[in-house]
Amino acid sequence: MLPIMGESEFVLEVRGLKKTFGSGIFNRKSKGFTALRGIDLSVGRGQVFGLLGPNGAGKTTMVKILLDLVRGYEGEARVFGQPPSDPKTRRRVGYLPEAHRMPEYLSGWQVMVLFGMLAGHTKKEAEKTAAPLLEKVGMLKDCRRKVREYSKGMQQRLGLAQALVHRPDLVFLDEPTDGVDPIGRAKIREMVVDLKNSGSTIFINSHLLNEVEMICDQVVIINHGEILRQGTIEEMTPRTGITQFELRRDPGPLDILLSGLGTDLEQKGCRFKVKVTDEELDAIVDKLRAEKHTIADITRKRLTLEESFIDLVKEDRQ
Amino acid sequence: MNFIIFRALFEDARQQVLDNKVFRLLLILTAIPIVLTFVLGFHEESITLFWGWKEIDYKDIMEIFSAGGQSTAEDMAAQSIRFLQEFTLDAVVGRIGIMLCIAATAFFAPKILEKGSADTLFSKPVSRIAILLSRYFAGILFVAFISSLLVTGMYLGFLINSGFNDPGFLWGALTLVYLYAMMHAFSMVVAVFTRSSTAAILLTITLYMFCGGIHTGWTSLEFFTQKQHVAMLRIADNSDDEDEVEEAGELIQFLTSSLRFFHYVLPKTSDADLITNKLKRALTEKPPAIQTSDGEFLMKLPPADFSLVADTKGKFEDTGVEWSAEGKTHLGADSMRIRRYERPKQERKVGSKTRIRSQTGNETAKQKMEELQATGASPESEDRKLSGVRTTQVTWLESDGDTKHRMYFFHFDDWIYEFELIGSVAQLDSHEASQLRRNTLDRGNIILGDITGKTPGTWYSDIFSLTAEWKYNIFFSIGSSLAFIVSMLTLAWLRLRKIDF
Repeated sequence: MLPIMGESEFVLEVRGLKKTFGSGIFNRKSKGFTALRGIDLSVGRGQVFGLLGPNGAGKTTMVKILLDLVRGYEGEARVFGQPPSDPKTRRRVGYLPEAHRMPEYLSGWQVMVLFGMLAGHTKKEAEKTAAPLLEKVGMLKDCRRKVREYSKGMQQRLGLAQALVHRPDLVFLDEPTDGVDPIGRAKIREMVVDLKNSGSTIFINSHLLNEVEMICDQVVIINHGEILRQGTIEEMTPRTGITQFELRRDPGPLDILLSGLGTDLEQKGCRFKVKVTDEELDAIVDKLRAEKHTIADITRKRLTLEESFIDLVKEDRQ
Repeated sequence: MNFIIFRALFEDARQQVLDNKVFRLLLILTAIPIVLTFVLGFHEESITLFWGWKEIDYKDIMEIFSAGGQSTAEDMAAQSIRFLQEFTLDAVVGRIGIMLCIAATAFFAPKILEKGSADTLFSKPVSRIAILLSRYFAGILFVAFISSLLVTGMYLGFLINSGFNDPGFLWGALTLVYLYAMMHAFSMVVAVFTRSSTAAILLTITLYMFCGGIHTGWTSLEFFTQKQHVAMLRIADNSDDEDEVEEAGELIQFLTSSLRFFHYVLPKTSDADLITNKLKRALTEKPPAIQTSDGEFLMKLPPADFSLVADTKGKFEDTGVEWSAEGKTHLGADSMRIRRYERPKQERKVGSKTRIRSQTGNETAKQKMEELQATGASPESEDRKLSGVRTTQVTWLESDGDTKHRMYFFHFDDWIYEFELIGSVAQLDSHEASQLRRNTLDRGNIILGDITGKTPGTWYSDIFSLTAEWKYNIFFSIGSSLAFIVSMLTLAWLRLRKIDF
């Protein structure tokens, strides 16, 4: 049983979360599609949490359950210690859906005021928050134009602004940089960092893993409705053992000098890389110095989040 | 749902409607009749165009349409305006207007349920039922705005340009709102189940036409059933043979039962303008002295200068409704009573068969004579035709020798009617007594529901009232339509709460 509000240190918690679509009373013959197969997850305050997984893994379903957009699930879900079906809970939550559609008959400004008011703010309060947010996402000068005139990137930036208009404590961002140009992406990353610094929790669902790697503290990878791995970015991107050296001058072939130290040596001029242990690395440095080779740079390579993700998903498929 | 959220949802709906092309077309169509009332002036003898730029005599118009009428010039102005008012409410608003309103707002629910839009809206701290109801009531508010604009505009146009003041016309705004409230509820259900504006428009318009068809069929069925019943009674009155009613075939019974079922279950769209008209009349005209729930009897005005005896009110089918002169001797009677009761059934032997037939007014008068004679009185009877109805008059004196009674008996369809004057001999033999009888039983004052001369539409329009039998009752009509609205909204809510966005 999940704790009730006040006892929980977590912003959101799910236990044994299961969801099957298309097996209701009208689809008795169909067993339906199981999107989630028993997820356990807790997210603490002030974290930037990345939710990763291939298409159809169940990421969006989980987020939608937490927002009460998807119902009829098994297991337990709590947002700020309360079930998602409680509308009061959602006053503290902002959401930028994937492939969202803002009301095209409204202007950007009207969208901000509408969603601010729907979140319980007065019109004045919503207007007061709208201007700086639109400024931050670079939409202030276009905010009087109708949404139907906006490009995809502009709509995405407006979507992000509307998710934050009521100053939420928890923000779900589903593909936040989708369709946004590199400058816009940098701005969005900045905003996420600002939000984190102000104490909000951010839950990011994205396929752009390099961005997730840049801004997330914790990551969970799910596939086929199950958690494959969860941890910090450091934990998710372990060292590979491959170390890259750059020398000032071309040392000539090194295979004899470094024989017995490490494996998979590859050399190209004054640069070479080799897979080594920590002890072997010390020994290589000593040998190079003894031969009077000046070392310009040493880089110990880690797995990228993307490589880690691909390996995990491949492993899971096998 | 708090006020801020409702305001936000309403503002959203307003912007959505203003952005809609059908709504703009609706506004233009609304403006046309309003402009006409300001441009056309209806005066005593002529119609003026553009404030006197051109003048057309009613005579010339009548000649064009080859219609010779006895109407006075004043009548013509009022009649023309009333025609325009009725045409606008019945044809423009009741038929085209409602369809345009449905088309202009049918996208209300589907739009918010579209993928992408729904995620953003339903993730806000607003319950699904609040969103559903706000969309429903926002639609009603827009239609209320349009219809109020139309009737107020036309009212002011007629008042300013033609000097015709008819505040009752303003009630016409209710017709469209009431009609729309029923259809919009259905449109919400279709929208929630299909998430398609096109399906919502098409199915709602189909239902609207289906309701109209069911109402026409049901009215005709009820009308001809009543008519057949009356015809049977009249045959029985005039002959000893009474044809036995043949049982209808199974298919016919199934069809009539289905027709009745659909009529009771579906919203009563065709009653909307009738309700508005009845409401208008109830608020602007004096209520009738007596009106029966079956629409068979209507007495418009009570006898002049008489006072209703309070405890006889509503006893028309019991001891009778009585009015008293309260000591005023010049009124032709001290008191006046009017009553009806079901025609007693009599068994008669015709050959070897026993037939049952209803007692006539004349037979009831004879019965009264016999009762009076048994008490020692000397009643006199006389057959006479009053306002086209065969009546038997019975007159007698009480034992005091001064109090005189005059009773008139007649039957109509299922009922025996009694009309009685009580007063002194001098009063009842006076010219005032004849005048009182004439005024009270005058064809213009008392209307007997002669079904044979009516069409299903006029019959239903007459019988449909607040006091009619339940199936012809305004409360039943409104109640069942409101039940339909509530059922539809409940169905929409039940579906909406299950939707996974």
